[in-house]
Amino acid sequence: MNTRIFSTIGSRLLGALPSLAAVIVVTFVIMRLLPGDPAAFFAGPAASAEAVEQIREQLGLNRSLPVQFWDYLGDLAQGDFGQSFTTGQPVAADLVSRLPASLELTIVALLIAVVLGLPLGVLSATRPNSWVDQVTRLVTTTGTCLPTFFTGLVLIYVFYYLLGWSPAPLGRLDLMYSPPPEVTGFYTIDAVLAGDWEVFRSALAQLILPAVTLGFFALAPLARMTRAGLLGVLSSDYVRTARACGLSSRVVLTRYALKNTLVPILNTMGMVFSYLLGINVLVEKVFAWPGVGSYALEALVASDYAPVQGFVLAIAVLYVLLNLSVDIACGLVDRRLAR
Amino acid sequence: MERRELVYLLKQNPLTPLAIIMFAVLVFAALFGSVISPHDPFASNTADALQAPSLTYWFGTDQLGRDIFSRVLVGAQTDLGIALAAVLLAAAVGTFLGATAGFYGGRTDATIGRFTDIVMAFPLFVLAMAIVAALGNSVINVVYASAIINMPFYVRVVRSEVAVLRGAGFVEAARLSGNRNPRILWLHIMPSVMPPLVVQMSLNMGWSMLNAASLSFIGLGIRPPSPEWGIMVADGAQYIISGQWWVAFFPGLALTLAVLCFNLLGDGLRDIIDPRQRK
Amino acid sequence: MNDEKPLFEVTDLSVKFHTRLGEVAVLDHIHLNVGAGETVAVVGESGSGKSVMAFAALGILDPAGKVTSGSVRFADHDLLTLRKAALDDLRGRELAMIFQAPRTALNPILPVGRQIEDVLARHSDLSRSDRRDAAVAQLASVKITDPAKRYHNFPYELSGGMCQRVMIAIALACKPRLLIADEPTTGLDVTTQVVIMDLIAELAAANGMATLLITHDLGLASDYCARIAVMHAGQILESASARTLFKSPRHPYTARLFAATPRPGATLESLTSIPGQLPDLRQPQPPCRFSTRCERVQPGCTEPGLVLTPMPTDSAHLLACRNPL
Repeated sequence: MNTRIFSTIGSRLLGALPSLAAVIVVTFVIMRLLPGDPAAFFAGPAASAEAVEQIREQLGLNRSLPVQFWDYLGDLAQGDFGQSFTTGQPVAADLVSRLPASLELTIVALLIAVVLGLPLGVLSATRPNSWVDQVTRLVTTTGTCLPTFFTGLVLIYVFYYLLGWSPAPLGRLDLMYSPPPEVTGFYTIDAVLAGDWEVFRSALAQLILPAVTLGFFALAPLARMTRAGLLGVLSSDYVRTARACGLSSRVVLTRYALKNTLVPILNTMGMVFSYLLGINVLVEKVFAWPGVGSYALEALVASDYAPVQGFVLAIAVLYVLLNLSVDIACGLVDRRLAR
Repeated sequence: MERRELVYLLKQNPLTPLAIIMFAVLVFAALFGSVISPHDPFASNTADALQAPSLTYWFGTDQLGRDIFSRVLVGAQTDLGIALAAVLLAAAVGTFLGATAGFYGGRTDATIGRFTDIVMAFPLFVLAMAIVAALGNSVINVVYASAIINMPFYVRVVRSEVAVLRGAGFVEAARLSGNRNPRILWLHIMPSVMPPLVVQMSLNMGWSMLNAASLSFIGLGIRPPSPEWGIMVADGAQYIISGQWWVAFFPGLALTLAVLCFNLLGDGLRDIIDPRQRK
Repeated sequence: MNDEKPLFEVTDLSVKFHTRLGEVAVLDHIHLNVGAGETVAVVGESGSGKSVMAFAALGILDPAGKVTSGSVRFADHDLLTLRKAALDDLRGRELAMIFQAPRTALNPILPVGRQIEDVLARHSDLSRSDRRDAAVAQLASVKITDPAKRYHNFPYELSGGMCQRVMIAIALACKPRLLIADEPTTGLDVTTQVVIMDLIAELAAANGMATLLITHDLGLASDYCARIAVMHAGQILESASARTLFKSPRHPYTARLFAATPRPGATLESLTSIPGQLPDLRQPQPPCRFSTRCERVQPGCTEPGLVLTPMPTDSAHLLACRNPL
């Protein structure tokens, strides 16, 4: 049975390779399409034509496209994503230092969505048309149509301006504190590891509003899919069999119904995570959150394209890996999918 | 459909009439917004900057003293227009690709499938950002980017419907009576694909509006001073922490309601047109 | 066994379904009983409400369906008013059911052996390892070869006939007193059908278990059951011993059903179809719902008060017809 699991994982890994290749090719093409001449940009406005030509040669821009693509692959293999003009740092280093901020935000948001969304979905599916079901319907309906940037601003207005419960929406930590010693890059976890509860509280306070903003957006599809999936499964023949056998409601719900709903829920979670990776850009802008999204956005505004490209590639690779883990998890839950 | 069935559907889904009313308001604002707007949406009046909502300025004024109500009204055209263009483009191209893939199968199907897989390999909003960055920061490129990220859904819906119908009896009959492939596909199969396609389009409209407004919120696509809801929210964002909530609130609310309207409309349409999907 | 009081008794049962097109009266004052160890069949066209009756009895009716009158008694319990916990104690232990489409009736992501164990865990005090042995033994009892290996199989890895054997193994795991078999052979190929029916009959005889067979196949019913109730559009029209019904059916519908059932020695030409189709139950129905399809219909058929009554000559032969054959 274990070999089966490993062969499943192996075949999924192989299956992810085309997506990875596609992602790399597409980001390369997008980079080639970018407006403006990078060489002229590098050389500066005062540079002579020869100087520009020289830089072009240095950058390898006068070689044929396949050769450039090959060079690009070589750079990627060495972890070279190019240089950012705005920060003066290698893009790879910038991404590595900023990724934990985005991941911390996204993961907490997903946790909020899962912790609230799954029970809501389960309750409303097991009690159709009850008040829980109505609440769920309201939450899912508004959740899918509220723009995240708008939700974020409304939350800031209410909890920061009106009530004063939240700190100013500026970054990951109150300016009074310095970040905890880096272990995971997640401030909340690092603060706990360092035993610094004040920093932990500040980091958590900063995290709550953006995470709730993102989480509310992710809640809707999760609750909706849980409800729909569970409703479908609850009316299935095998749940009827389980009931006809007198199995207790708890066993019917968990072993028979919920476990069979797990595959669509896992798939939705994957999809939601990918939404969040994109929507991060908006929330990071609203809350001045120093993650990869706001990094890419600042670079985009400054026409500094290497960071944008690095961001797109990093997020896409993250997404491919995520889909891979969702596939594997689904295969473990339902062996039919693992074949 | 029988009348009592319609009555039953409306009873099950009482929000559909509300969505229809909201839709009418939205379309009216998009068509006649510039005619009926009480103030010039572009006229700045620094003396009246950042006024709270009042009888003169129903939604207040922004930092340049422009009337937010007028701008929200006129903005409907931009937001609706971009989303509609993106959805129509995505539906047209996606339907063509999906129908071709589903009908001919084999290598054509595999190639088109590969294309949709590539698009789906990206988080869609990030892909849209990258496409606008690559093609250039303009409205038409926002439309293209939205269309590209919406397209896979149409390809999949149409492909699966066509692939099923390809083997249906009435298609076989059309073939035996001497119809050629393209004629069979577009005249005999496609009419049956329309209902799920229409449902998909109306559900897609709301999402496209969100997408376009999000892009302009981060500074892609529409540029100021054009009244567009995403930009207006972005403009108002800095005044939220000083308490001038109305600058960002009303355009954000307009966007939310518009998206809500299309989502409800899509659900209602699905119930009426495509009973298989009904829960 | 008490002759006055059968093991399983459905009295005056009516079920309505709430649909988007209004109320549908799916069952109309049904009476049926099954004595201990007896084999009874309910026969009718698809859509006549046979399965609904079984689902209502076991409390597994679709939420859209509501029981509007009548009672279902099993041994000393009124199944329709029993508390859920008490009902759960009965279901799967004393009263079990197998379904059509066995493949979808089994949990797709649980090994079949574990599904037998779940029932044993609910209704017996066996230890975990004993349950496992019992599950394997149960698989062996339905003549599955290599049961220890099949224990680990998922439903999708087994054939339809094999899945139905597993289903039977689950249903009979606690040696119930009544088995309701809802179209157990529909969708299986013909040779498998015979094997499955023989298996059910054999296990029923060995355990002294009563069987209620629900089928559209009158031939199957008369081969395996002592008594047959004929159902049409939610009404029981006639009920008698298989032999009586076969020799002298009194209801025109029963006669029609026999004429439409292939029999050994009968020519294909002698097969006839039943005219018309099941009535649209959303519309108000005449007292006899078959009257719109019946060639023997007469003015009296539309008068109210039609009930299933014993024949004067044979009290075990019940009939609901104003103009019998």
